[in-house]
Amino acid sequence: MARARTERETDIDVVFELENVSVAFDDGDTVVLDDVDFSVRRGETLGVVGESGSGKSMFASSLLDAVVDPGRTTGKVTYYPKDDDPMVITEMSDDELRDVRWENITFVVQAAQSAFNPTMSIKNHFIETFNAHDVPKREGLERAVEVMQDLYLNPKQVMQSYPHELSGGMKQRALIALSLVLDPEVLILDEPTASLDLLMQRAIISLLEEIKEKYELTMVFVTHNLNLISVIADRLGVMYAFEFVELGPTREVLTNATHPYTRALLNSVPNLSGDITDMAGIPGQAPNPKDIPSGCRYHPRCPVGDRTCETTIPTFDSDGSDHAAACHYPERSRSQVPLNFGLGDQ
Amino acid sequence: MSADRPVVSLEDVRIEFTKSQLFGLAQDERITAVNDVSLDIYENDVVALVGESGCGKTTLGKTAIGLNRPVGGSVEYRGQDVFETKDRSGIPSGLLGGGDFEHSFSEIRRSLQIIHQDPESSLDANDTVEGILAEPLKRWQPELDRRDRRERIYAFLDYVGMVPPKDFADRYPHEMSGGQQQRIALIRALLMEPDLILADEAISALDVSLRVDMMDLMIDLQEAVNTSYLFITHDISTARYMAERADGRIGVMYLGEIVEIGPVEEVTHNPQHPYTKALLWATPDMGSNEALGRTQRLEDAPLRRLDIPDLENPPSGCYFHTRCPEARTVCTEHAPKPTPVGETHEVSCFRARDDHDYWESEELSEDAEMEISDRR
Repeated sequence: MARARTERETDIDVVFELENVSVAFDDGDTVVLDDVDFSVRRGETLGVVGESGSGKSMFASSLLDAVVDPGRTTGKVTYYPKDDDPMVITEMSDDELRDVRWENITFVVQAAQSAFNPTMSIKNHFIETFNAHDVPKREGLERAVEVMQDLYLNPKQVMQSYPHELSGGMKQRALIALSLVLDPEVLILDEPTASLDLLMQRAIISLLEEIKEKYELTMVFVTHNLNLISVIADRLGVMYAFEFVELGPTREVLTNATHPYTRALLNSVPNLSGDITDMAGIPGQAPNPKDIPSGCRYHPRCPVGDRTCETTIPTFDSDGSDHAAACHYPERSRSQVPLNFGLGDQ
Repeated sequence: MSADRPVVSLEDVRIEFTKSQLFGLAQDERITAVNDVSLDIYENDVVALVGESGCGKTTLGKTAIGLNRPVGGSVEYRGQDVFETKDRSGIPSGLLGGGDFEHSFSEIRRSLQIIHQDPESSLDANDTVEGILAEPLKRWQPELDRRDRRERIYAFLDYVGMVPPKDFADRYPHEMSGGQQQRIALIRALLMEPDLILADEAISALDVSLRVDMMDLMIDLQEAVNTSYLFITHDISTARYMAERADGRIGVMYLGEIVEIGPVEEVTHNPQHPYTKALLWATPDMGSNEALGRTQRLEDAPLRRLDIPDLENPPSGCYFHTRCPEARTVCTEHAPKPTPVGETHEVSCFRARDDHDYWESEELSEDAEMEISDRR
């Protein structure tokens, strides 16, 4: 499972490297992210998809050792800054993390409303951030204005507003602007559009794409919305029961998915062009973290598996390409679970 | 699809909310949540209403099932005014104002049911599944004894795949998954033998992998018990699935108005309203080549302006004109009325009429308000 290391060894420019990373609650009894090896590549937009409770938010939090108490992160997360020495996130003090957190890597959360202090104007949020990181106010504000314009915000109006005076979409864009104001190189987005109007969700996806180019960002985008993420992600990672079950270039995953769960998940998303008689849910339920099935965690719901899957944990195999999945029977999976939409199997 | 006479008929329904100003010292501000909407729902019908949050779809839905009283227009159940029936329901017939109605208010209430987005909060946490499901039967079918009730309940549990029924009958809501809770909420509504069920974002809280199955179940049960659905969702692909399975219609709402309504295929593949087109743009199909290509730049979006106007201060003329890429001067002055563009397809846009003044009207200049087109 030493995928991450191989990536670095093969000269892929990696931003994050995760080795045996787990997150657990209840003194280790409840594992909500299980032994993940993973790397995030510089300059990519990585989409991490999964259903609620699959571990995707824990994965995002673990990148910055930001799992909420009493959760505990174990394993090793290494961050490779563009022009600096590697930093082992999992060994850093809270103070050290705080600096990295705004200057190198920032989080954009779903609930923009709770990220802002209701008694402070938007401008003061920016100024507070500059002060905390020793950025000259004038210089910082100049950049803030530019970022706001790139996000279709009227800087003058938004700066003097209080959070409650802005619509949800404006608030979320103001939060993205605040996240970018110290010129980070990584943006971690956890369902950044989930609470917004449809048109705003789609617009923010386009804006993120534009901003990513201009500011040379790496983006890790966690979401349950497959339709939206397919528009923007370079690679897609699919999580099931606290592990990655598949990872590959977006087009590969969408048109040639290997894992039966990925294929079933794709088939379960209603779309506008496919035949509705082919759309189907996935029978059964995802396991809860206290009751993880043996062998392949998907085996109780899987139409493809057999005895082997009940007892043997599948390895995350890549058949030499950029596309990897954890399944004992990739061939059978493809033939027995046909994809129902658009491009489908080719 | 439907018999001739609607089960529920909304005519020019207008709903306002009052927002108190200055602790009640100043004049209250009135906000129009639903603006003169008409909609007929037939037997065994499915109408899926889509729109962004705050567009009034839930308010309209609750009005259709008699929970929200409109300030203007009427709501009829099988040709009988729902709120008039309610007002007179306490007055014995024969007295002034009292009357014999074909359908009593309690019958109407039973006939119009709701399933909420969050099933857990709508189910009594202190009662078992059997207790929760027995309640409507005791009330509406007192002739059934305990054994009959249990039989009905078990049959439903069996039908929705909660087997063995006995195991589930003894469970409390918190002992079930969200999908199972929602199935109990659906059964509870169906046990009333309703004519119309308002499903208000009823599958939104479920995991993606469970949504299609829940909709399938709703449709299968519709055929078994003869009911209609007013299905409210913010997701047009979900609306398409539900409406297409039942050969129903999709209605698109924007700022308190139904701007387009019609057969599924028409609305999704031959949309006439610029807002419907924008909604479709906002709903990429993950399987399509377009989705897998690079994102369009925002300036290419079919929108003039990103942000939704404030409902407290709605735009003049057509409410969509501030964001509409096709808007002309006339759209800032007059509001379009629903215009038929097909047998059951209506759209509220001047562009639906070849002979409208719109086509002579001046295109809007790019004023300072126009966030998207104007910025670069």
